[in-house]
Amino acid sequence: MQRPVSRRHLVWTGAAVVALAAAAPLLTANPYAARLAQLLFLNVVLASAWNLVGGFAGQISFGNASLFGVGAYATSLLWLAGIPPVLTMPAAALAAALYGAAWGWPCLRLRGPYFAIATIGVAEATRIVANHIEAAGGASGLTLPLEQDIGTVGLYALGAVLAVVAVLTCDLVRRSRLGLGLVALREDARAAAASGVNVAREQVKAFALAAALTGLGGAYYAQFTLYVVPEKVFGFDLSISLVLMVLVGGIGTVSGPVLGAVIYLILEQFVLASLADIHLAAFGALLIFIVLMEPRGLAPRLVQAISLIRRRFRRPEAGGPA
Amino acid sequence: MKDGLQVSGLEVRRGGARALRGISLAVGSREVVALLGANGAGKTTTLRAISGLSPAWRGEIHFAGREITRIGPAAVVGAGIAHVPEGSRVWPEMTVMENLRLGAWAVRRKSGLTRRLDEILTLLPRLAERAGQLAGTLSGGERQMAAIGRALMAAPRMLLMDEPSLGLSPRVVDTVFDTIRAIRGEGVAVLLVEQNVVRALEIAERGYVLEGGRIVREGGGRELLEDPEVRQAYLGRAAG
Repeated sequence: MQRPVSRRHLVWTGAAVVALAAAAPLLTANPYAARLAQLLFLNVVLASAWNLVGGFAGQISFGNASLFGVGAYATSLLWLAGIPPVLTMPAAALAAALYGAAWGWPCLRLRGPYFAIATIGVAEATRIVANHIEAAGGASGLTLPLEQDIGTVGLYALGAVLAVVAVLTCDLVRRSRLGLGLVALREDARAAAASGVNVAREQVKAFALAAALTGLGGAYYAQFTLYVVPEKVFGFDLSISLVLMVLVGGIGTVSGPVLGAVIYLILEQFVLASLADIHLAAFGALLIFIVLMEPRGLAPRLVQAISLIRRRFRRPEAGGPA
Repeated sequence: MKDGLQVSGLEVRRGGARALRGISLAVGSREVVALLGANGAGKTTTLRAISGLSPAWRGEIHFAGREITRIGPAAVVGAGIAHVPEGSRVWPEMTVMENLRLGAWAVRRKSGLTRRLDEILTLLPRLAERAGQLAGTLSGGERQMAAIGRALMAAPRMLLMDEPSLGLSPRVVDTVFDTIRAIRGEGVAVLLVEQNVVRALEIAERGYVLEGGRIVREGGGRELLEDPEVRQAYLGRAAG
């Protein structure tokens, strides 16, 4: 009755891959455009991963930077030990998944605001501890070898693959038994438990999956910035930006995080260029507007608008309105 | 009665207070048993303890010869006991079909599921009409049917039903009790919590009366229905 991946999403993903491939020569020729593409891919990965737990299970995490940082550091340390960075990525995903499962297992027993506060505590503690691990560079962080071996085109392709994987993972989970259980516990955790959904275990599964993707994002970040430092990769700014992206784009939808990532990048780059750090204020204002006007985010409204436009264009052929 | 449910010396604490003060009851494998009592007597707590949603402080619960006291709600469903919670609690933002699919969450073997679904839609024909509709748009009676159907998807040998007729119109209440009869006809035991004492005792083979977390009376359905004290307490009039 239900396909593992819907045809609609398959078509969109196919179109996205073709568009990404076509845009590659343009974006990789210009260093600024190349960086924008890298940041966009990164945001799509991180926001989609956040949405797995925040959107489907309704457990809002303000601590995903702790997972991101573990991925970034895992790749950096292995890289400095002589392993090619791309080959370190499975290890980064695994390290982040294990760390996520380790603190998700106790914290996910809490719900709503209690969970959210616990995530802030864990992430801040992680940041402070990372600042004091001298073997990992302490507060001054790690500088990675400049002679990268996959190049601008390689980084672009890697980012595109990660972004597509993250979006497809969201789509797969939404349709899976796991996704059904997550939405059930979001809507009514007690009814889910009464129906035999193992509430604790399913949330930890989803969180570990989200952590693995977030860790991959961290590994990717390390490869294009060539510099990781606790204040950045374990920073609260990062955690909160993910929440903002998903809320603006459309929480609990597959396309919402992608849309939110695009909007965030545009605001960050264009407002940042003229007015320093005011982009967060601009984004906050947008968020207030959206929460008041469109609590479900922009993606559902956009889908509605697209189908409306398509109907408009089809009408004349169909013989006009009745 | 070894293959049914046995509860012995069950105690449950809620915030330090004893919500259940050591109750013992049994439900045979094809029986309908009513659990009666005033608000706060511990009826819902008893069902929640059996299904593992409220932890047992003391006492033991056995089902089909196996101890299920502390195995957790998911495993209790797996052991063959499904819970229809109070107020039906379907997922309003999900379709009726998704609600039903969720009932089979704990079922490992997926082979018989399609047939199971067909049987349930035959038993509860309204659900077939509403399959694609969001559960939040259903009427109260339809919601109750969806909650019952969801529980039956787990292919249980026993159903715990908490106030299935609450807030429903008399005609819909008839349908709910007909459904309970049909469920018994399929060989599924039912432990029924009901405020509609007369209807519950008419259908039940046996009944227990809870008061302040203790069982104060037990007997056959007819016997309790004619008991002057039960009539006085729950029907507001003496026998005669």
